[in-house]
Amino acid sequence: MTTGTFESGKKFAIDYGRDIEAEITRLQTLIEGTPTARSIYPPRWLAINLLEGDTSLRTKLMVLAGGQRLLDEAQVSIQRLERIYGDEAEIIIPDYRYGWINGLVRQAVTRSDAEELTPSDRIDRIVTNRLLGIPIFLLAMWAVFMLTSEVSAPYLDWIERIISGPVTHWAASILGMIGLSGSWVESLIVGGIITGVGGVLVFIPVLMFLYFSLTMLEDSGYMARAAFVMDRLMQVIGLHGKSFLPMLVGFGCTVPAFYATRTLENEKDRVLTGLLVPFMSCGARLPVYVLFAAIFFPRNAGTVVFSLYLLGIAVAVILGLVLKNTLFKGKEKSTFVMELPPYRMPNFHGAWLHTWERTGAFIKSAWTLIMAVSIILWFMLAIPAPGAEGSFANADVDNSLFATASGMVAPALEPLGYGTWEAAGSLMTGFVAKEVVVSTMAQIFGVNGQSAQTVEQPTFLEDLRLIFFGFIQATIDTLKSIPLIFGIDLLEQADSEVGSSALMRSVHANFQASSGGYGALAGLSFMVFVLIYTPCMAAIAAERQELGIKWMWVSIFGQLVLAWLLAFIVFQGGKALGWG
Amino acid sequence: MLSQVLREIKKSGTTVRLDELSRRLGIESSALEGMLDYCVRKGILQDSVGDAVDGGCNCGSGSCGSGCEGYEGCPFIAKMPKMYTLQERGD
Repeated sequence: MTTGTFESGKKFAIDYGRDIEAEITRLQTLIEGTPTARSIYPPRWLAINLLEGDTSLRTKLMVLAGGQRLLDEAQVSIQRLERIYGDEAEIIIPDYRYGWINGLVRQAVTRSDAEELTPSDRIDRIVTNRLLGIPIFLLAMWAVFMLTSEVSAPYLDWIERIISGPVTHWAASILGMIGLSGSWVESLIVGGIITGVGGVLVFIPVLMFLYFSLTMLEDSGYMARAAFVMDRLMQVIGLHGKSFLPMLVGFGCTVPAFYATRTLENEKDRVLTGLLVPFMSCGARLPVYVLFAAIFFPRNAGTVVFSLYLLGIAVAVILGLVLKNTLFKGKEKSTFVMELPPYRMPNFHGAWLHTWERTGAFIKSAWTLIMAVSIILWFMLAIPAPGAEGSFANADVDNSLFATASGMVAPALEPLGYGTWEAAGSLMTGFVAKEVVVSTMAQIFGVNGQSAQTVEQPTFLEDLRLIFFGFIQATIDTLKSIPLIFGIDLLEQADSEVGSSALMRSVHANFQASSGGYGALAGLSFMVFVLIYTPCMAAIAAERQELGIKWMWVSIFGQLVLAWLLAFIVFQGGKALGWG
Repeated sequence: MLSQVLREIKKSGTTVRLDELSRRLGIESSALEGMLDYCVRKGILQDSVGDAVDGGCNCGSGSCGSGCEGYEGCPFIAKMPKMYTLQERGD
């Protein structure tokens, strides 16, 4: 144990032991004989820091007269100490210092046994337990998705009514006032932009509930534990421990997840992690899951959404295992120390602000990317295919350029239960961004456009009343639906209300017809396809930047093939087993 | 003391919690944190939480998908645990 002295009137100094002290004294004497160094630095302090190999000090000393000699002598001392101790000097010296500090703390601080384990420690013993850690994490995630899918449904319905009601009426009225009523411009704005962007904005409550739940978990300190548990899982399957970071980021957005692979120094680990990241279901896929789960599995929507997230993890784990033992052979053990923050009560206000920031980013994307896609899509739906009947904006959508182009891909999707141009087209535009799948469906089925023309226009006051009272009703319904998480249905009519939106009815009928009556299986197969195939264009760009063009193409084709295979297994396997 | 900490980290061969390490070695967590930070300065360990945030939450020059608008659009990373990774030279 190192000793230090606090005798009154004497300068305090830690005793570093005979050998180190001898070198310190030797260097100290040399420093005292070097006026340029002595005038700036206390000799003993400088001697110790030179032995520890302080690089900034070395740089400063180099420019001083006699400084280089001091550095050379320090190097001789370092080599001598390293020979004696068999370790690096920069470890040996602080070793003594920290040993002395620890000894002092032990003598000065008395801790009772009760203090040894804090409440955080006790919770951690269960939450980060080798056996219980992962089931607890899955349970927490299941609760989050139940809350997200079940409880947000009334707000989803409320926004859907606002967009298909007041927003559409107001846009149609304004266009009517400037003489554009019934024109293709009205169709573009109402049937294209409002329907397309609105189709995605409807899902804002879902994302808000998801972000809010996760922020609360994060604020409580639990997500750090989840990271610890996930890291262990990564190591078990042979991935580098650091792989869990990009994976976890991937649940939010695949683009930053690709950039997060930079934390892995080894190229093999980085490429392997990059190939697995897209299977972590990003936030943009959630609207597709929620829509399809509400259509085909209204009573188990939360469980279905949660299962898809689990499937993504399972695919990544299995593929990771296969690739690690074939293409990416060579196991490197990674060792970390993780500092987990203590548990604390989440801050509601902070969590709300954080949720709003994240949702804001989504809305911004909806107004730019989705709007651009909606406009392009509208034109493609408005232009008749070569040789087809009809004129611009007056042709049957089944004869449009988009329907013809999508129809060429449709046969490949027939074994999956949705060999229609509508489903194929939605998946094709989904390459741009996953939320676009929903906006494309909304546009194709022309839900809002139809309602704008067929429903009698309510007054402005009636619209305002719908917005205001609709919000209050949605809030009441949301509160009533909380017990749904535990399987208690206080909102008996909720399923039928949510499931009765025009878009849902159209998608349901389309999938029922294309699958020969196995609509639910086709819906599930569609969700699996969306989960596995290429996330979005921005993700492809990030992948190219981080992994290179070769791996980008491997990833795109690999995901497409895997998506088709898994969707095929779900649909055909389900049919063979007599499900749906 | 420091060499004991490094030996224990190497020996564990997997991820270890700081509080667990502190209990195992009988060292105060705050003192242990100081030692680990010293090792980071010396390049023996790497403090990787900064990498995760910079590398993970910067969308770069390309356009980003939904939910990715810099730090605020980076879910699940804000409160990530601080991680110390053993570097090659420490082996």
